[in-house]
Amino acid sequence: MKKLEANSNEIYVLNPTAIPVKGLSRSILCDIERHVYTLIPNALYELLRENRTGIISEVIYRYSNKDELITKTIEEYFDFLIQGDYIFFTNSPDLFQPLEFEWDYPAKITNAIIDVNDFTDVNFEEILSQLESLGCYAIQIRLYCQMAASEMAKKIFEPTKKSKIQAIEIVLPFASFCELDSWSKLTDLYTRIKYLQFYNAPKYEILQEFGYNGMGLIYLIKDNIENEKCCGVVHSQYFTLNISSYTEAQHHNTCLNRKISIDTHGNIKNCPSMKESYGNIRDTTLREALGKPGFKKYWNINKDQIEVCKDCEFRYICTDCRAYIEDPENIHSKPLKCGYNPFTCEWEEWSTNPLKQKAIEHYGLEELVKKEEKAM
Amino acid sequence: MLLILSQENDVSTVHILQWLIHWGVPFFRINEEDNISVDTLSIGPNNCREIILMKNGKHRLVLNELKACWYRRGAVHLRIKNQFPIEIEKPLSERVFTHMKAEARACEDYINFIIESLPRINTYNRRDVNKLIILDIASRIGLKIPKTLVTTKKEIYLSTFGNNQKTITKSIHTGFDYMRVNDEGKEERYSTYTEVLDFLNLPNSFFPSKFQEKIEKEADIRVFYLFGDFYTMAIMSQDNPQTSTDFRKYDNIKPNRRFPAKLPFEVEQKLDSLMRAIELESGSIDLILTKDGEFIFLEVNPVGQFNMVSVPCNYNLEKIFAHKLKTFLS
Repeated sequence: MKKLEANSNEIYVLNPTAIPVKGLSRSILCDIERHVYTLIPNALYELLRENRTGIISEVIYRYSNKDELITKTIEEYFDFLIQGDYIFFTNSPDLFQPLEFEWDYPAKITNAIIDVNDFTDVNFEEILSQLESLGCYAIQIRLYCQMAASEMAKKIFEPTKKSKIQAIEIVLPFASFCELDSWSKLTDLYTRIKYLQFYNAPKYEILQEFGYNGMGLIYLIKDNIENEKCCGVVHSQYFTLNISSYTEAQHHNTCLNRKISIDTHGNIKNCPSMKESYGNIRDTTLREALGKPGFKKYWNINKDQIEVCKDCEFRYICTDCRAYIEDPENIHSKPLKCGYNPFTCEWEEWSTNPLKQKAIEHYGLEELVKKEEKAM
Repeated sequence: MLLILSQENDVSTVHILQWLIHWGVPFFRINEEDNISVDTLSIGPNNCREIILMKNGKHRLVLNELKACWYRRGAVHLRIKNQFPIEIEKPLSERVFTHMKAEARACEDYINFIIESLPRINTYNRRDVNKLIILDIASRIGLKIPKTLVTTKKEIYLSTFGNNQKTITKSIHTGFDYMRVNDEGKEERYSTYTEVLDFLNLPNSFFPSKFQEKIEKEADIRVFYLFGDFYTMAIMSQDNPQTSTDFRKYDNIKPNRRFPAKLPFEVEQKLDSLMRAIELESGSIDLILTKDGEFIFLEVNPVGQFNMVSVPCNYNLEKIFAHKLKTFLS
């Protein structure tokens, strides 16, 4: 293990893939190479911002003014950075460059959501072929009704066997489950199934892990996803930390960018939970809907523009929601279903927050909130 | 129209085609596995020619309409069947078949000659580079290279490196790779890596083998080169004993850190001269950064995958590369 004393006169460089992000009361250090983050004090954030590279003994000398307490604190910071492999020592510090945050992907649409209930009349073959022509590679199909594995094979997967779509996620009620065997067979046969998630289950359980290709997960969750109003929850369990999502978050909305959706009525939207519809799949193609003015209006709203989020240390690794926001009149207001307060650094229950009751009423979420309270 | 020569399962080709499709750039892809036949090949007076190829019997390619070519991998193969309309006895039939292959080869050479005259990125004729020649040119240009010896005798080895100098041994051409299924039905793979040499175990004479001084490195440097532009990555492999000699011996638990980097201007200039000298428009260049901050040139790979540099450094090389191809057409 490396020791601080041994390196204190060498030149250090902060890993270009270790990125400090400052919040109101604390900061995080995102290791986008190893997909983890760690909480750091804002003082360390400032120290790193001003000293991406340097010599530890000189940095200590400059900041501490020989004050023992400050010296000790900065030494602890560097100990932490060395042990966590966040800095390295080199004689060629000029060689190493900060990471550029450009983001782009060769597709008009990268991801899609298709919502289905008992009354939905949908031709998956047609929709998937339209999505494919837009370059879409990931699709989530959310079923608010039951469907057996055999029916799913026939309706969704068989007609799209040769499609270029890489990953399909299926969300469906536990009532469809029956036995694991038939679903395992489905994931074996159709290797583009990313996961099968059964909601409203008696307990959380992973029944089949991801395969070697990163596909084919089968698992149960307790939450009940009975309709599109259940979406939009912001929580640390949905954090994503990789280079592609991190760089996209610098420029775009972390939920809605290059997304297209079809709700249970066939309405084409940016997201099924939103009001704005850009035509119905019965008479409008996805490409036509995408070309209509306003479709992309949320795509470039990144977290730096959203109130509260812009002061949050998690802003580049967190998801967003523009369908349910605290102030429905303000397009840049905080996601309604986020309970995090970057000032106190605490997660609170969003649904009981008195300041959010008006918005909850506005979106007609009272029913949902009551049920969740009962479940708790 | 843009011609792309590749292989069926090449990942880098797929990533670049995604961009070309996204931008609506017209291209024609030929994989090594495709069955290519000559439909027309005519050369006339007044600088007049017409070359039409068929891919898998159904797709028609008019070579005259091509504006540019990207040679990625593989080759244009004209498929010749070992069949004759009449029965021919054994030694003659073999001679005839050899002759037919040579006839086809002459056509392939002409096709490659025509393709090579297009604006292009790399060509079939320079797909395979000789590491010794490149090391020699690099040294002439003034790049630092490791002391390199090919010999068959231990005494020559010792008189070159002595018995204190640490050395490594690696293949003269390319590495050796062998896969087999063992008695338990499991796949076993044998690959040669760069290995530290234990000269005590050297016999007195052996098959011609390459030795290089082992350089104490701070990092492995991998450069993606495209028309004078450099996209550089540092792989911090030295602190990890598993990867300190050859970073390809990946450590999956604690993978090596990979960072974007920028070479000093003089090093880039020399590498640019090298790439021009060996007429490669694009390729991967391997270097070592020493503890003293020197850059030692190791080798060039004209057909490496660029994903491994593009993703960790967020260079989006696929987009840059596809854009270069697109500009050929405008």
